[in-house]
Amino acid sequence: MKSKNVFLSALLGIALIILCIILVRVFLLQPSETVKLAAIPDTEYDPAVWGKHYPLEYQSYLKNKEMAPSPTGFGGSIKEQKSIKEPEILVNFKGMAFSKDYTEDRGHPYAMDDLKETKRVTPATVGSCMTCKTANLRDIYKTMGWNYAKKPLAELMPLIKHPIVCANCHDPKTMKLRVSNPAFMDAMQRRGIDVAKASREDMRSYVCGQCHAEYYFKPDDKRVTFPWDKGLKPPDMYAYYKEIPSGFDMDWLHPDSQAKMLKAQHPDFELFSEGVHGKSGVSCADCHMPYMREKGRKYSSHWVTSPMKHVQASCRTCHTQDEKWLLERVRTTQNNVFQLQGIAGQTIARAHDVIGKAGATPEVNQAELSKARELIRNAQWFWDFIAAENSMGFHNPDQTLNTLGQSIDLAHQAIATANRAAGKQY
Amino acid sequence: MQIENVKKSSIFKFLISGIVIGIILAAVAVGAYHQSGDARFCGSCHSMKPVHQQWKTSNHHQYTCTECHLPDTHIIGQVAYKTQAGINDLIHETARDYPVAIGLSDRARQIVNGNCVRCHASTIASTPMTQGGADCIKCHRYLVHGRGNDQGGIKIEK
Repeated sequence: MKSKNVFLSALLGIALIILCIILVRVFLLQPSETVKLAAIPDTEYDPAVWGKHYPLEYQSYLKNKEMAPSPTGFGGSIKEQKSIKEPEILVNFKGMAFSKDYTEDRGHPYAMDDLKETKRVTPATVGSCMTCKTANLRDIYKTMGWNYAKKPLAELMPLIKHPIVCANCHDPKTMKLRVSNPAFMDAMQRRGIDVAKASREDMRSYVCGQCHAEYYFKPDDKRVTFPWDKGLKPPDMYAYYKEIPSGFDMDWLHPDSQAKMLKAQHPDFELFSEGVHGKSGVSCADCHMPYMREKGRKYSSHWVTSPMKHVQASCRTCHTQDEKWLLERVRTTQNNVFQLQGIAGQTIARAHDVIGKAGATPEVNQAELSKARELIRNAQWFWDFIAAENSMGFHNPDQTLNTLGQSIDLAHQAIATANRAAGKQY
Repeated sequence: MQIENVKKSSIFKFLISGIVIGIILAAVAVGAYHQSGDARFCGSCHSMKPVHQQWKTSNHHQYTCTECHLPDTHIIGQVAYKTQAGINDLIHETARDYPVAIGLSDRARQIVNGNCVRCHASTIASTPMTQGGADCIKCHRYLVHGRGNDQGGIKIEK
């Protein structure tokens, strides 16, 4: 009888304790909804120091070190040569560095490591190449202005201590977003947009767009320049390059076709801005840095990766379909794009060969031959704009398929024109 | 004499006290049931704050959460669902493992759709929506909870 009482009161005690825990956790001590502003000096670039004050954001930033394939099979953060899957890269970039080394990109913490490791960098590489790789750019630009761009990269290397870190996008005094790349601010100013007055929502895309964009180096001072003066679409930028801005007429001369080629560099911001999500006011951060919860506390994910790794947080804030359905939609778009991208790239590779053979014909029609070279330059610009972009078309599916469709047609036109020039069928 | 005996008997006392306790318990249960159906009660949980804020500015803010989120059945069905959902909420609210974007389960979606029709039956009466499988919130998904009307962002404390 006595032992039964002890048992009952113990049970009651445990029940009471559990009830208290529930009441305290659910009603009394709710997770904090604010972040305490920390005093971090403006020149502090070490993310670990920032991480002491903003641990949730820092922990998610550290996930950028993960090297893993993307759930859709495209992109991912494993460093491997793109030419394994797309061998046409070796033909289309013949005669320039991207045919030697062109890998899938890793996360922000590896930016400087990858710059040091890539075979594209030689002793002749200029300082402008580190513009988007490090937070130390802020100090370098402050002391040297654009003069850093022309200096040898090797000379700047000792000044660089950190890759892309918190300070690239945050002002530690207020933790508000800021952009650090002067090339982006220049380009936006030419488009009539003052970045300093941008809304928080716009800044949530600008901090990404300041680097995930197409650019070229001005031939005289190697200044990083965005070709945005005529618009952000592939034909707008092609029209801009056609006017030979500041004497920039090509990235390299293709050894086979002898065409003056352009190399596109990750125009993620441009493609996205013109797409359905961009036009609807969705920002880069909405999908790539969604709100997450850790023990009830809300934070912005700083694991900047494929949103397909967290469909629940990224897509389901707006879309009500289930995760499997959403992932399947993205996969379908990307499969369609990859197929057309392959056709475009391979047709261009064939065009380089045909134009090369036509050029070697003794009585070739020079006017037709230069037309063919112009056509392949345009075709490859359209193909490369999509191939160099990081979303396999998802950032703007309809524009992507349009651009690739035009690229395929232009490549066929280039082949037909070259054959006409040579009076033959190669 | 006999009545006096009955009054004195322990069975009678037991019955009376049972009835009194029963009435008190029933009153508490009914009170708790109604109190827990109040939107302020739902919104007092941390995970529910954003959706509560959205509901407050929606054009359905005159209805409480349970008008849409409890099944349109008899009281037993409602109590059963409420108990099951309540335990689920309590576990995750205590464990704090809930996501930011909270979505509807298939069952919850069915319940919400049923409650749309409870009021708006005449609206869809002569449309193919009545032929079964109708999903109101497939299109009207931002009617109550949705975009742009929550107190988003992470506040920075100086």
